[in-house]
Formats: sequence, C-alpha cells, structure tokens
Amino acid sequence: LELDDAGVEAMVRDLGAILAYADLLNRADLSGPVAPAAPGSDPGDAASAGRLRDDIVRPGLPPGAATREAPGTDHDLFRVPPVLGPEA
Amino acid sequence: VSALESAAPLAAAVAGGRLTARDAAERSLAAIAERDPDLGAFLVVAGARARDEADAVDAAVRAGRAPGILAGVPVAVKDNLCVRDLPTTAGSRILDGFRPLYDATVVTRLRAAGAVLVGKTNLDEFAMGSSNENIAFRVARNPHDAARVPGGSSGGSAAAVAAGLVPLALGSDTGGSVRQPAAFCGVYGLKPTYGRVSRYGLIAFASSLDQVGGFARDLEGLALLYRAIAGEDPLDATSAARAVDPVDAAAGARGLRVGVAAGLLDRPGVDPAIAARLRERAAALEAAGCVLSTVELPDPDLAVAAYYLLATAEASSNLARYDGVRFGARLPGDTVGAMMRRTRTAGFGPEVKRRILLGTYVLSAGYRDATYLKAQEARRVLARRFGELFAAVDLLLLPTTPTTAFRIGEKRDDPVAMYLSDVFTVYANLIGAPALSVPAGTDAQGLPIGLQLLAPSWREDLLFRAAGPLERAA
Repeated sequence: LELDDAGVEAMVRDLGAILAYADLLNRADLSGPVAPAAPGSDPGDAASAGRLRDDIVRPGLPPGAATREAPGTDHDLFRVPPVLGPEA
Repeated sequence: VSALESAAPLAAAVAGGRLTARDAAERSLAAIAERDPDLGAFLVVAGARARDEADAVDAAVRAGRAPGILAGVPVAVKDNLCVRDLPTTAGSRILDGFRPLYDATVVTRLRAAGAVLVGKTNLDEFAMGSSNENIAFRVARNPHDAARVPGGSSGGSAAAVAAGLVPLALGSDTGGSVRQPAAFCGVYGLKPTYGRVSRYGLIAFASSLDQVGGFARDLEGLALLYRAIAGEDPLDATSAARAVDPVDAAAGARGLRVGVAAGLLDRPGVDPAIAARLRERAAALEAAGCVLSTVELPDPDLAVAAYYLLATAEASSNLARYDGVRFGARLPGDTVGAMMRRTRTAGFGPEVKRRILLGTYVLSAGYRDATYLKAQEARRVLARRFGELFAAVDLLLLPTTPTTAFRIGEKRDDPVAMYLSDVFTVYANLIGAPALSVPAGTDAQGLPIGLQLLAPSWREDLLFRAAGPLERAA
C-alpha cells in the first residue's frame, strides 16, 4: 500500500486511537486456565473429528479456466510485469 | 402477510401448485426495480438467471418431483459469496469485474432447496464495517429511515428483507455483520455456530471468526433457511462433522434457563429505550415458562479490543491474495512490485487499508506480544467465562446493539465509535457460539430495536425455542 503525507497523518491518528483503546488488554487480568480459542481450532475437539479429508486426487480447474479471470495471461499462464526492474 | 414477506407459506404455495416460482420471482424482481434505486440494497440483480431457476422449479412441481423446502422462494446473497459467472465484488474495486468459476456451497444448497437467486446484496467493502458506508459502489439505506444506515456489513441483505424485496437473504457475520443490520432493519438475523455452515466460496475476512448467516422476517422462514444451509461440507475443512439438530420456534420455551445480561444495560451509550424493551421482553420469556436469572458478562470492551486486533491480523493475511495477478483489477506498473502496489493502493478503500495496516502492525515483531498474543489470551479467557455461564444457564439475553440505526455519516470519521457499535455482538464470534437477533418493536422514532439470544455452540435449537415467545410478543 502507498500512502501520501495526508494519508500517513490520518492513518497514524486512526491507528493510534484504535491501539490506545486496545491497550486495555494489557491492563486486564487474563490469568487462569485456558480454553480452546475457537471450536474446531483444537485438534482434540470432538466437533472437529473427521475434518481432514481423505487424501484422494480430485480434478482441479483446467488451466484455461483457472486463468479466465486474470488481468494478464499468455498461453494459459498468468502474465505479470518483470520481477526485476528500476522499481523492484 | 404478502407472499414476498414470508418464506414458509410461499414455499408451500409453490410446492402445492397454487403459485408459480416464476410469479414469485417476477414479484421480487418488480419490487427490486421499484424500490432499490432508492434503497441501494443490491449490487447485482440477476433477472434472467432468476427466471430460468424459477422455471426449473415450476417444471419440477409440474413433473411431480419434490421441489425442495424453499421451493420458489426468491433469495438474495451478500456480494462476498461466490456465484458462478455472476459479478462478485465483496464491495471492492479490487474485485471489479470478477466472475467466480464456482458457486459457494451455501448457494448450491439454496438452489438444491428450490430457492431462486434474484441478486447479490450491498455490503461494506470485504465485510469490514458496521454501517454499509465503506463502499466502492453505492450507498445502502435503512428502509425505516432513508437518512440512516441499514447497519453492516450485511446491510444490503438486511435492507432487502426488511423492505420486502425478498423473504430471505444470506449474509456473513464476523463480528456482528448479520445481527447488527438485522437489529437496525427490524428483521431476524442468525449467526450459526462456527463450523455449522460451510464457508466454501465465502470471500474470507477473518477466518477464525467468519460465519455465513441468514435474514428472515419470521422464525419459520429463518428455520427453513438454516435447514437448507447447515451441515458438513467436505469442501470446507472448518465445517463440523456433526448432525444438525432440528430447530423449531414452536417447540416451547418452558423450563429454559435464561441469563439476562442486565449489567450491560447500564453501560454508558446504551439507549434507554433498548434497555427498557429488553426488560419487557425478558418478562415475556418468564411468562412463557423460562426461568430468568441475572448474569454478569465479561467486559465488552475487552471483547471489542480483542476482536479488532484478531480480525485485522487475519484480514491482513487473507487480503494479501489481492495482488492483480490471478483475478480482479490490475493497474499497470513497470515491475511486478510496482504493479501490485498501485493495484492495491487504488483497489482498496480507506477502512480496508486501515485494517490491513493495523493487522500487519499487530503481527509484526516487537508489537505482537502486547497486541495479537494479548488478544488471543483475552479470547481464551472469554471462552472460559462463557463456558462457566453456560453451566448455569441455557442461553443468554442481551441487546444486539447499544443504539438504534444511526445517521449516515454520523460515525464515519471515528473508527473507535464505529467499532463500538459491535460491542454486544463480537462475543459470539470470539467464542464461536450461535446467536440470533430478534426484532423487538421500535423506539419512539419508529426505529427498530433488536434483542440478542446467545446459546452454547451447536445449540441453535435453543435460540429458536427462546425466540418463539419473543416473536409472539412482537
């Protein structure tokens, strides 16, 4: 992302306000035993049982379809500007 | 109730041959054409496709085949859900012109249930917002007061259902993005349990929090929508391999232990009309046989702070894929780096940039411990405290939002004030639990009030049971 000077100033102000608010996390008592962060995130969670699929090869998108939405293509390949250059 | 307001009688009429799906679709499309120029609920209206889908439903009915539980019901989906070959922008310029190669699983399931997709709804860019003001394309307005926001980020879906353009709509809820607009627009809004509904084809914002949810004007319609979309999907590794319990608002609320979060009502900034309505509706639950108690919820400020650090951290990583290479918009550049910088700078709006930068900051070395890791700790503490609460009560009753719908522009320049409109909704996302916003009449200005029921994970059935008496009270 690029920001001009005014953009930097606004971003510093906004992020500063958000981080000042969020600093209450550092003043809160967060001690005690822990529970899983979210259902499904703990491999021992019964809800997650079976969430790994069988390792079976399935057809994917053919190359011509996979590149259909790309802004730049060349023979079913994604085309991008040079990686190396004056601005790289 | 007109056919476009209530999904269940509409589906029954179509399945019974008393109404054609084509007629229902035409009514919905005509209502959209008439009202949406002012409302701004839709980003895409798919008339031709809707007519084809409706004709297929009618052909099934004529042939004697079961047309599905949502036979002929016009539906809209939020524009961050992929629909094959239809524009899908997530409300962002960076996806301008993008047409997915596949359908989201929820879209496939809606179609299998006989629903007819009429269009894609407006949203805050990448679902980041609480007002539908972080927009690249068009303003969405609250059907109850055009000078006010419909809420966000699924504001278009809520407005479309509230205005009677469709009986049902899908949204996504990362921190309240279904429930808050449902409350602001006076309709039902359900965020199911994390893992209950497939997210395959949902454009990711914060993957540990995102969940697909739905809007309806009545519980019967919402239950049908939930039935159609819930359940395991092999295409989504986070979807749970669990049976989906039936939900039924008519099952009765007698004996349910409801914890009333009365302490939240005294919080500064909570509209007294919302506090009063909550107490009134709590009494209705008691009259229906619920056993009430007062409970103390964890500090909501802690939840909001944790939420905004975790959600932005995950967003900064999820949004790295928009680089002008494989899909979406591209701005030219001499090198691939310059192309990506220009594409992202021009493609993302200010709130999305703010969140990417905040999320990148909280994940960077030196700041991570005091921000991201603290937020994770807070999330675990919240999960533990809610676990303790749910040992004593079956579900919780709290406001959906501290205020009714605010004016367009009112909070646009103050991100912290905007984030605090999610103060009562982020709990459910942080702990993964299901929650339902129930419309509870209006305030003195005629603006809708929403009340929220929050149940333990996988207990959507409890939400519907407790919501039954609240629907009758409304």
